[in-house]
Amino acid sequence: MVTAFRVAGWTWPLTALLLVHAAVVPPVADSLERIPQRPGFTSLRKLGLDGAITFDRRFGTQATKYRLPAGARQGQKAWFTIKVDVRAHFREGTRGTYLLSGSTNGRTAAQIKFTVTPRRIITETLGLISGRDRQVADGRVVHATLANYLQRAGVKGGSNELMFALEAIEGPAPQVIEVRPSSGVGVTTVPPDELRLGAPAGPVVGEVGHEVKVPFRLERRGGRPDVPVTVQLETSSPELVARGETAIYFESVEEGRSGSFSVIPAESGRYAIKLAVARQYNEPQASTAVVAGSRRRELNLTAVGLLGAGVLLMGAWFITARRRRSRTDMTRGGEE
Amino acid sequence: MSRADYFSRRHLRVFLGLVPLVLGLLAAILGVRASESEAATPSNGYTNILFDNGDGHDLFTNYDFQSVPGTTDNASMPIGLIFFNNAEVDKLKQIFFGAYGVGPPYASENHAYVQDAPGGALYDADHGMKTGIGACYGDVYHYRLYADGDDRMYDVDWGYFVVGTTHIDRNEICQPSYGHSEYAEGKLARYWFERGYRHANDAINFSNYEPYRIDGNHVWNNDGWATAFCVPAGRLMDDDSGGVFGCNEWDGSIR
Repeated sequence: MVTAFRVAGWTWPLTALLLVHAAVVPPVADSLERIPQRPGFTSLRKLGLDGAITFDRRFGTQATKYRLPAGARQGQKAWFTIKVDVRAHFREGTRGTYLLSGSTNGRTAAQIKFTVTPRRIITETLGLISGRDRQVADGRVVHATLANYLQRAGVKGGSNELMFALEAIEGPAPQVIEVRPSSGVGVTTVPPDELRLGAPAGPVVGEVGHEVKVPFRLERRGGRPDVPVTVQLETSSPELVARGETAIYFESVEEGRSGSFSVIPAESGRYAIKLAVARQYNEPQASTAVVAGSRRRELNLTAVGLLGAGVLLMGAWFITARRRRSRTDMTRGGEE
Repeated sequence: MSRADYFSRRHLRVFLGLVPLVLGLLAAILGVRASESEAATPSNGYTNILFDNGDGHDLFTNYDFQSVPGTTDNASMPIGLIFFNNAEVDKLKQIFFGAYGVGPPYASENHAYVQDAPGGALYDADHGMKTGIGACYGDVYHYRLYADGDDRMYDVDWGYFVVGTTHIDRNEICQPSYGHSEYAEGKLARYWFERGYRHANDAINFSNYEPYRIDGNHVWNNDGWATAFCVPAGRLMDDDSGGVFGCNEWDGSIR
C-alpha cells in the first residue's frame, strides 16, 4: 500500500505536466479531408482516393471518411449533396437486377438500379437534383450519373463516412462497376425545392361538354440554372378529355411562368387532375380537380320551375278574374 | 452412407421437391385463385386523404383500394408499413421471400395513390406476396408494397422509401374474411427482426385508426400507427467487408 502511494506520488508531477501540455498544445490534425460548410464540391480524388472505387466481380461495400465542421446539419446553413458517376460493365448473357448505393453515415442518398437482360441494360436513377431518369441501352456497358441531397440523418459534425455498396436483387456479380473519382460530396445554399408548381386549391367548376381551363403557375427559386421545362397534364379518367396540348414547353422559367390546360368533361362528376414537371430538379407536382355539372339539366329544371310558377300565376289570375266577374254579374243582377 | 440410404434420401429429396409442384398443379386444376375482399368503409368515413410527410412533396393515401380511383367506398386496408433509408420494392420482396413466397395469381391486386417529388404521381398497383395459397381453413398473411413508377420514392427525412399494407386472409376458400391488419403487421415485423434487421413498432401516425369490427368480409383492426422498417444498404450481398450498413445507429424514431 505504501509502495503504491509512493509510486503514485512519484508519477503525479508527470501526469500534471501531460495534462497541461494537452490543454495548451492543439491536437494534431487528423488526415481526414475537411469539407467546409460553403458552396463547393469535394471529389473522391480530393478525399484521398486516386482511382475509381471498383467492384470487380464481387458485391460488397467500400468507404472513405471526411470531416465536417462541428455542429454541421443538413439544411441549416447549407445543404450537402452527393454526386455519383458510375460505369457498369456486365458480362455477356448476364441477367439480373442490381442496386448501387451511395450513403453517408449509413443513410442512403444515391440508389442506382440496373436491370440487366442479355440484350440491354435499363438504368434508373432518382434524385432531387438530377430528377428521375430511365435510360435503356443496348450492349454491356453503361454510364450513369445521379445527384441528390443527402438525408438529414446523413450529416453530422466531425467525422463522416461515405460508403458505396453493391448488391444484387437477383443475378450473378457484374464484370466490374466503377464509381468514378469525379463522384463526391457537394455543398450548396440552394434548397431542394428549386421548382414550385401551383394549381387551384379548390376544384375548377365547369359544364359537361364544354371546355374548362385549368390554370397553373410555375416558379423557380433561382439557385440552379434556368433550364427548359415541360409542364405535363394528366387526368384521372377517360371521361375528362384534354383539348389541345397535354404538355406545355417553356424555354426558361425566369421568375415564373403561368399557363393553362383545357379539358372537356364528357360526363358530370369530379375528376382529379395532376400537373407535373418531369425530369428537372425536384420535379414538382400539383393536384387539383374539375367538377363538371350539366347546365342543360339545370336549365330544364329552371324552365320547369318557371313554367310551373307561370301556370300557378295564370291559374290564380284566372280564378281571381272569374270571382270578380261573378261578383260584378251579381251586383249588376241585383241592380236590375 | 449405404447405397440404400443414398437412394432413399434421394427419393425423399425428389418427393419434397415435387410437393410444391403438385400442390400448385392441384390448385391450378381446382381453380384456386385469389379471392377478393368486399369493398368496405373505414371507421373515419374517408379513405382518400393523403398523408403528407411534412415537406409537401411526398404524399400517399393512408389506405389502399380495390379499384382506381380510391374513394370512401372501395377501401381495402390501412397503410401500416413504411420501409425507409434504402428501400426498393423488389429488394424488399426478395428479403421477405423466405416466408412470403406466394404471389399472383394467388394474391389479388390493390392500388394506392403515391406522389413523389422527384419521381411522379400515380395509382400504383401491387398483388403483393403471401405466406401460402389460400386454404379452406387457416390463415395466410399477405402484404402489398407501393411506390411510384421506379419502385421507390425519395425524401431527405426518409431516404429511399416504400409504403405498404398487410392483412390476414382467413379461411379464404370456404368462408373468407380479410383484415386483422395490426396482427399481420406484427408478423411481418417479427420476420424482419429475425433476419437481423431493425424496425420500430408504432413509429408514425398515419391517421387510419380502425377499431376492431366486422364489416362484410372485412375485419378492421388497426391502431393507426405504422411500423417503420430501416432498410440497410448492401444487405443482400455476400458481405465480407464488415462495413456500416446504416441502421445500426438508428434511434428508432421517424418523423
